[in-house]
Amino acid sequence: MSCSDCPSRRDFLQIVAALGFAALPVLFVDGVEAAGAQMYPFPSADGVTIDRKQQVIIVRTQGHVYAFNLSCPHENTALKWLPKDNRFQCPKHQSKYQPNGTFVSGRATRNMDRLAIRREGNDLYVDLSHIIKSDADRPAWDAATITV
Amino acid sequence: MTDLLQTWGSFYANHAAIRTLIAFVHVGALIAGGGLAVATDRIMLTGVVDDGSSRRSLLERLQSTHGPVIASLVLVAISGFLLFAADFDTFRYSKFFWGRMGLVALLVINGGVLWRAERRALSGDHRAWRTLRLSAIASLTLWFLTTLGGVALPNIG
Repeated sequence: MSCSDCPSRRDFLQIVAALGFAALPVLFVDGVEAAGAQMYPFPSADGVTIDRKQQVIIVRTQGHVYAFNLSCPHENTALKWLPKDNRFQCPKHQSKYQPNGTFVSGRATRNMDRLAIRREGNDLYVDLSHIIKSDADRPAWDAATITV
Repeated sequence: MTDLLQTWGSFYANHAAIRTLIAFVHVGALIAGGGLAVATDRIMLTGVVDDGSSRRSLLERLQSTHGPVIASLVLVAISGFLLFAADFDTFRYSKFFWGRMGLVALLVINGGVLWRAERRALSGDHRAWRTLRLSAIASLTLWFLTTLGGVALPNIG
């Protein structure tokens, strides 16, 4: 077999490398975790705010304010808020949670993970350094709320 | 518009059969179109000899794949849009998602390059064969990178 105009091995490797490297910045762009406390405006009315950069969900519902980790406790997929159904749901395996983070149904085995919060005037400070899991520290999980 | 997206998101989240159907169309079309393209790319890279009749036969085979591959890409695009709309708030901020869309755009552009080279090869331009083979390498790489992106999206997001 002869092939006078076949690409060389170098051609092949250059194309594969160029396409592969083009994808690399996309693959690893969201891997940064922040430490310490993050400040948000204290929610003045019931609703859900999602900070995708810090992976934080702020919820005000039924006289309470909460901060949650955006990731589903099952396999860490970003949760989505369904305003029409008034609940959170994981798009991967469809675990469902109440607005206060309580697990309703699905493959997850615990409630949504909470973050410790404190209020200073009109600001809400969320401690990003420690994730509170309901199955590991239930008293801390229950306490991670502000009553309004 | 926001209300429409929220309604669709709620409908999608509450109907397992719809989720299954859309995912099946998306993955099934990817297997059909991508599989056919990969098989043709492989033949393009391994099965060509400097012989007029075999090259003509290969070009005819290549031409016969365009219809099914384009049809499968249309199905992938429609089902992909429905998946995007069901989780609009997550995907619109996902750099990973937009990176994958960039790969799909490159795949379409590469298809255009392949189609033009095929026309040139049919008219007897021997230099077009080098472009056809480079395009086949790019096609193989892009189909697998796009598939990797689809698998990684729910995990890395």
